[in-house]
Amino acid sequence: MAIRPGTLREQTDQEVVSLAKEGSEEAYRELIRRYERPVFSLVFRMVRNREQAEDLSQETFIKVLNAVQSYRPEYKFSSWVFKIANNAAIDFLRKRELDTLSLDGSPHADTPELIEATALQISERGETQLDEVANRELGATIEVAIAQLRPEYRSCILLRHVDGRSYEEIAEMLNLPLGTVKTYIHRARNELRILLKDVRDEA
Amino acid sequence: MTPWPTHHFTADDLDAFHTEALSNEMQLHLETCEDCRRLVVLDRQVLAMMNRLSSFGPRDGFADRVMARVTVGSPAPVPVLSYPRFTRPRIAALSALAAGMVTSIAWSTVNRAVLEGWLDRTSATLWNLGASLWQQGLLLLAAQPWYDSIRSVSGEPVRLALIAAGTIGLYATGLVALRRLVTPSAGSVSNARA
Repeated sequence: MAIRPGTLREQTDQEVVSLAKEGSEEAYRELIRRYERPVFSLVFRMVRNREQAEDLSQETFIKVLNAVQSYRPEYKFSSWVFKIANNAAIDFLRKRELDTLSLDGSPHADTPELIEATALQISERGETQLDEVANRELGATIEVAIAQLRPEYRSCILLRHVDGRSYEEIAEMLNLPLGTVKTYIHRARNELRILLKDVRDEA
Repeated sequence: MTPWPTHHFTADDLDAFHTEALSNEMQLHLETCEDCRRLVVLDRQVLAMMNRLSSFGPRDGFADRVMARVTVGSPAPVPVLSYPRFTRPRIAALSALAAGMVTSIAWSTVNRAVLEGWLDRTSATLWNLGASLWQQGLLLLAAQPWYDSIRSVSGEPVRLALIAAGTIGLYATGLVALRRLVTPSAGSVSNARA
């Protein structure tokens, strides 16, 4: 069954999942296309290692897509994907506590090309060089601050303020009470305010 | 007149501020409280910085790498009842069992009188043994020092009823407690079964 990619892009997640259940490979690829960046970004910001983030994201999608037949459409597909991705990241962090932060590229990168390929790409296209430098510094500052948060605060605040999920959705994804999610997010914001205030004061 | 707030900005007030749903009294407070103004400005900066964070993508070919390990359109595994395979040793064992049963039935039919004699003797022996054990048990019980006091209590119907009710109550409480202990907590399944 061939489906035009353009048609797929206009369809909702639920419709694409239905097509995937019917055996459409294009539908599977469309689901990956929709969520590879947000999932990878979340996992990368959680584990702070590009290779690990890629492996965990890959495992997330393999798990999701192999279980797509058992997906229950009354729940949001995105919540399901993020839930599995976040669980994978948290499990990884529990197994191996990573306290090193690399903004300059993977610690495993041993060639200039690999360092460049694995470095955090903070700037956006279409900026002037000065903007790019300023944004890179600003982005790096907030990335460093986020990396210093406790993993559970980090996943909550990333889901809320980077992915734009509602408190209720995050509570469902992380299996946490709504009040706990709110508390984590506000504590995270509080810590970020303190960290960023220090940076401003130093400047 | 708008009431004067008695507290500084809370987390909920900050959320309300960012969604432009701040109450009039907190709006008033914000106009006069330097600390809260600083807090709001800093919080807004944090959120603005987070909103501007770029997204990252995996290396090229990510979808191909995932798809190489995904089975497209494979239905969810349905548990299938598996029947034991009939191997030679199993067939031999089953045949021996069946032959033994048939022989037993045939012998019982032919030698019915002998079988009945055996059954009568066995049941009489078992009955005598049971009766003897029961009598010995009763004698042993009657020989205990506490037997008379128990007997006197059970002689009064009201006391007996109270003891019976207490025992049943204790038993029921124990059952409920045991049930709570052994029942696993039902965690909410909030999504698909992956």
